Amino acid sequence: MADIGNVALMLAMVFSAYAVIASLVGVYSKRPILIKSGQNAAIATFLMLLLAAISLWQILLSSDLSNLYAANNTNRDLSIFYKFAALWGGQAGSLLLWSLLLAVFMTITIFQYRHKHPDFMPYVIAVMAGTTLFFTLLHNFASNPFQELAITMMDGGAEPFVPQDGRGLNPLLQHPAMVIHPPILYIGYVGFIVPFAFAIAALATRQLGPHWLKSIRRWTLTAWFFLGIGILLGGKWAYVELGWGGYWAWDPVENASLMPWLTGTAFLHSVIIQERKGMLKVWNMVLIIMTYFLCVFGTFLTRSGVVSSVHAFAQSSIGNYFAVYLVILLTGSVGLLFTRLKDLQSDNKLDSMVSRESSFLFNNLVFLAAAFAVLWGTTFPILSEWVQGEKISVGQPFFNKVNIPIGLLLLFLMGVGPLLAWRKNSFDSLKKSFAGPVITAIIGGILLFTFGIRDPYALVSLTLCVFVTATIVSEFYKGAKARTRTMGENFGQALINLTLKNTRRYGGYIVHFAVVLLVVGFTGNAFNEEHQIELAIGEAFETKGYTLTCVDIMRRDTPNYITDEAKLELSRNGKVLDIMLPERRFYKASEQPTTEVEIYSSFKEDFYVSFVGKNQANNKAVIDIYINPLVIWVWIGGLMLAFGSIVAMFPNKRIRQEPAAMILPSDQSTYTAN
Amino acid sequence: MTALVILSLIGLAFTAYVLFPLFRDSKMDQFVHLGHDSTLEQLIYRKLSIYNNIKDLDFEFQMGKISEADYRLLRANLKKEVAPVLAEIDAFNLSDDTLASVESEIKASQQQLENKNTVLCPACDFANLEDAQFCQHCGHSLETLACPSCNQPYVYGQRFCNHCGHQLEDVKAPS
Repeated sequence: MADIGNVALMLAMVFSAYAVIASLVGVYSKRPILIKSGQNAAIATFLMLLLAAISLWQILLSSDLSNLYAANNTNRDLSIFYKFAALWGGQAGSLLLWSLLLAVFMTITIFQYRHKHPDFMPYVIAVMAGTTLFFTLLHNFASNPFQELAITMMDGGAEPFVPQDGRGLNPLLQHPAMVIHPPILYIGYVGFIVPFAFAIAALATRQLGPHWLKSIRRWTLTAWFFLGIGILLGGKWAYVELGWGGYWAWDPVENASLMPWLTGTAFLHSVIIQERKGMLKVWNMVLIIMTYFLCVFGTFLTRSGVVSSVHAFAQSSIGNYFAVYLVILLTGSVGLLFTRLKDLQSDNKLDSMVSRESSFLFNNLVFLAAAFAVLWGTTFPILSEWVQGEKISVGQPFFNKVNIPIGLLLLFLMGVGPLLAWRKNSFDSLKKSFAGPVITAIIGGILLFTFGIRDPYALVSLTLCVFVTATIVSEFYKGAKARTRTMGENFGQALINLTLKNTRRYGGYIVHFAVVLLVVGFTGNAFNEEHQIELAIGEAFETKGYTLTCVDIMRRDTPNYITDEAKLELSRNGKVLDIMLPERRFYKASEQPTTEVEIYSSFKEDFYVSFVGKNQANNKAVIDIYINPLVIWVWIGGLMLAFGSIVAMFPNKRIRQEPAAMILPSDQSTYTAN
Repeated sequence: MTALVILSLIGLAFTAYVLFPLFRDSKMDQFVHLGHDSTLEQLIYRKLSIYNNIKDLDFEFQMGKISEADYRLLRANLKKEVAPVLAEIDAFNLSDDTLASVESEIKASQQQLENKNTVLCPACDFANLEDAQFCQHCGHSLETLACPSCNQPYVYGQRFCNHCGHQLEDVKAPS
């Protein structure tokens, strides 16, 4: 299978190179048959990469330990589930997943747009196949997943070698969330290449009108959705697997995924202004280029080993390849953008600073500020090493200090934006829109203060959550009421049709509500509590009304790992809430320990226990306890985010219905509902 | 050995697939520019974009988000904005009045959004009912013809077949 894989990778490299050349030569020499041949080469690239991936899966599932990648990332007793996931458990395999997804998207794009955007396709293919070429070069010359395992002999020669067992998959990756987290995150990362490729095609052909933005709208939203869900799944994995009681640590690789998400979110908003008013054309180009650049930059951070992270792969030479690719990507796209600046002038100007457009613009600036703050903090160790020769890391306090106020400002704008009408708003209009949500927020803030929320950030954050929720409710309510008046629908029907008829706007509001839930969850961090305790069998510990009793301390031996386990009983007011079994595992193949935490979750808070180990001096269980308020709302917010994004991705429903006319008293014009 | 033969066959098959278009009929090798950014197309997009803005404004007013004074002012501004766009479209020899047709076009545009079973006039982009024989806005024929190259239907006035790209200008108008 390794031979098949190697040949497939070599052919994928040749076909992708041919796809780039044929597409560009085809478009410049005006030869459609060359362009068509380039398209076929792109599809052939995908099939070759699929063949390579199938070969690698076959090697992993059959525990063919003569393969270096299989020997490093699997062992014979690893479950089939994790053998399958081992494809993205190591450097070379996960790069193969990257290029496979890229080729899948390239093929879908060809079938989707070859008739709709024939002028764009040669450039789109050149960009996507060019990127695939870069990855296939890596596969063939820097990080080959089909390399044979060999030992160096005394005479300097190498001999094939098959070990008795493999090193096993990194134990931290042996978690269900890790099976789906990397592919989902990669779909997000790689998905942004489609809008990027179309942007380059628009610049290259000078067809800079809005039609291509409509075509990439769903791709952008899909990539953004997967990136967001991937980030949240990563948080869930960190929470249950790493055992330190939190889900976000501002780790460089976490930050690397957050940055393109932030700029992607900015783009999703600002593109609406271009569609509506023909403004922000250069800005949108910059955002697309920046978002894709940050996606690749994130991969570079993970792969190069230039920053220390729980996620990072070992230091390797592929960082240099990525650095070269990033330089080409940035200079090429920004250079092209500069040559087209004249063609990207705005059709309109901002009518007023108090308008929906201006709130979008502010929101864009704040998103960019957030992305820059994260970028600065993440790359500071690299910069400090260049300047001072010493790596200086900025920790969580820096990120929290900078990003919490930025986050609150974004939350505020999320409440204000939907209340503003497009173009401009008089004081009368503002009063009409803002009265309800502002009064609700003030009442909410007073109630929160009365109920003991005194931390300033938490108070402001939760009050803003009330404000944004009131805004969203008011938008749905007023919209549905307008439909009941003009279309004669009942309220429930009106609410559904309102959403289905403008999925992007109302799906967007659902996403806003998801962000509110996420912020509620994040705000809970202000009230976290933690304890490290030691319990002998029969002893109990009490905190915040909970009683934790140690029932037993046990050891189990499985084929894959040995585990020490504490059996704990969690109760409240004499009522048993949960029997908790936190573990400390030791994986035999990789000789690495991991913690398996136990969490009792409620809408109010999580009671989180992590078994550190047995104190050999007194035979007591050493246990870390974290009481994390409101964490569950982060996961509920994640589900809501998925729901809202899916709604926004749906095409608008066409409703055949004669509207009941609404007549203005002083003007006999008629108006119909949205 | 068997693996080597299979791999060679796979390689050859895919190479043939990639190179196949180069050996097809040379007639297929005529480059047809299908740009989306003709001035007319941009104007039509601009027009539809302003109509959508008007539609949103109407709805925001119905929702009670803006005062009547603001509403009237903004709507009048949008109408003024669309008037020169329509005039420019008229300059393409497609229509004869501008402001007077704004309101009816807004309704037609809304109908177009509500009802997917419409057919756009190739001359003036007006949304007509799908069974219409002539455009109700400019009177252009909406009769469908068959492309002589691929036999796919097209509307009289189209310059190129949107299925195969065949040039259609020399096709006779229906009598």
